[in-house]
Amino acid sequence: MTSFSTRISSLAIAAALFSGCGTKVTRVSHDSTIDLSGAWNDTDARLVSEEMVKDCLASTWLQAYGAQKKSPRVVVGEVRNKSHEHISTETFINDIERYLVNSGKVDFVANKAERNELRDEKADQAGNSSVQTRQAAGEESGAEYMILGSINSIVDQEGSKAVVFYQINLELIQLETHKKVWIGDKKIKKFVENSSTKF
Amino acid sequence: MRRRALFLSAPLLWGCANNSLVRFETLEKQAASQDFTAAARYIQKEHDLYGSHSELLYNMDLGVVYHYAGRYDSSIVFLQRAVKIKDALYAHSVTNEAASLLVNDNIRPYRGKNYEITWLHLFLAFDYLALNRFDDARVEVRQAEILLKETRRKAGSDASAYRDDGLFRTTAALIYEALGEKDDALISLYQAVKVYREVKQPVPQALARYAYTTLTANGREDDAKDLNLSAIAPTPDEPSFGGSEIVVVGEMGRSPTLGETQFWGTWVRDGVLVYHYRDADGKEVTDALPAPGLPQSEYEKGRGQRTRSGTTLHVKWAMPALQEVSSQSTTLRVAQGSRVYSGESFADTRDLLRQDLKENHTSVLTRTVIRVVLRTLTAQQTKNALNTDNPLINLLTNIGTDALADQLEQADTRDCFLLPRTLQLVRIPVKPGHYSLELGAENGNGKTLRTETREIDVRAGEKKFVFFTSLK
Repeated sequence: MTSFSTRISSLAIAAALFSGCGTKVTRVSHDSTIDLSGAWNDTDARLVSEEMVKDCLASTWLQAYGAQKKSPRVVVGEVRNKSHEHISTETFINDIERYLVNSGKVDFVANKAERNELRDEKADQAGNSSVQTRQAAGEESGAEYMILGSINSIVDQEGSKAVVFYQINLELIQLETHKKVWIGDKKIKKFVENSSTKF
Repeated sequence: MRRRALFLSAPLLWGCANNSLVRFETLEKQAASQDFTAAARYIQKEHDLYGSHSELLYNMDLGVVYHYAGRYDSSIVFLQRAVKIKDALYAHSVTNEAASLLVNDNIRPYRGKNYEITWLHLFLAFDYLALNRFDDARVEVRQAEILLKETRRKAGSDASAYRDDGLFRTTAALIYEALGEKDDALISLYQAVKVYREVKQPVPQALARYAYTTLTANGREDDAKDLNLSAIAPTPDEPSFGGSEIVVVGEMGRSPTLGETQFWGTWVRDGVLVYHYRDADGKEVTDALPAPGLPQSEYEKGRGQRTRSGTTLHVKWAMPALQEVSSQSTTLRVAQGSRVYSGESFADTRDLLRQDLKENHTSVLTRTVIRVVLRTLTAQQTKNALNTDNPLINLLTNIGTDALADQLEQADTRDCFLLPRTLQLVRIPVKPGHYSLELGAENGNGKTLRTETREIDVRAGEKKFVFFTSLK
């Protein structure tokens, strides 16, 4: 073998060895569906928010309220994660809030944690801001409805195969009467199969 | 020819250094001196000691050490990484498995022992409980429940196999109870007692009392009967179902670790491996395993006489064995006001590690024997290929090849020795309010080894979890 062909062969071997190294990043559409592990992901959160918003806007409570020619004031309460995965409920709740507010049919008031932060700010303003710019305390909009909910899951697994079922329930409850005016749910079922061998 | 023989045999004779002992010697001292921050620094600095095949162990060690140090957020980060690695290791690499047959078991990725994986979720739940994140603690409970269901399925009818964890089920019951999920809490309570019954271990008295009272008070008398529970005279401070309480979890003493036991034997011409080892009492035990017949080259040495002596090969290998670690912290003591409570052990890592060794003995032994046989053949071929006319060089080559082959055979002694020897619980029912607790560790003679004071606020119906570590 000539020294030239030896060098070419060495380069080819080196290229083959190093071809798997490094990070490759590809931009994808934010609404594309990519499932890697089978765990809860952005697609599931998106499907939940889309379904819930559609259902909520079409339901009778909003039409009945619309007759009063004003928008209902809603606050987001606790959405409990009872599933087997650490799921951030904030992602789809924020989506739902945004869709509903942008629809112009519902007003959202700050939730408990946000209200505490806002009150701290007002207390700070009371001591430090000018009278003209100071925001008055005791003028908050009280919510008329509260959204409460939960995420549940059932896993049926045997060996490398699993069926995962998620059920997301949201309820809109009238604060004064504790009457449930809307109940929405979304079910997602996945079949996950893991390979038991690899090279 | 010689160069080719050496080149071909090199990968078979290559092995990774066993760093478990190096890790143990440093970390054991730091754990005994309660210097968990230094231990975490050491683990991160000496990441290479773990090697690329022990990432799960690296993250678990760090997570456990950060938990002891009270840095629960950091602990969660590393323990969650360990869980992800465990999930990714579901698929067995054909390459690694094949390589382990040629080198040693340390080349296989560390997947954790069954009880260690349950405790991975248990420690994650502990971290979330320490941070009052009960929903997240429930996620860990649910993940471990799925895992244990699968473990039980795989164990089948093998009575000696690990299949469940009484401590985990007890913790799950407390978490469900704290979340107000009555049915799940009662089911977990039933399962907790059932696990102790299954593994033929005594049910912790506090658990037996609580399970009986709670199950019968909630219409599950049949469950109590099925578990063979009977009324035990209640103590003055018996927790009530759904009531507010302080739960002190004591992580006491140091877990045993894994060392090596040497096995030696004779590979007999017609395909039997007769081997010997010393048991825990130092007594020599002899046993035999089927093995492939000796190769033709060995028969040829005996001039075709299959029955001639000399057509045997001597082999040596190592197997993992339990190695005791002495520690003084045996009992958790909790003082609240004038009341003093003693901790009761709900789990002992010595029992769990011993069970794991027993459960995996046959599979480890079979894999090791196959490897030793392959390596012995390779060593023989290498010796033949390197044979010269000089008897002294031949002798040195033979000694060198045998010594190298012996050195490569290392047992897989990886384990999470940073886990505590026992996990103890003390439940103190309290009314809502502020409490000052004095937590202490005692040795077997009742001497106090160390104490800590904690200030706790408890709200109505709340379960407050407090963690106390004494690995001295």
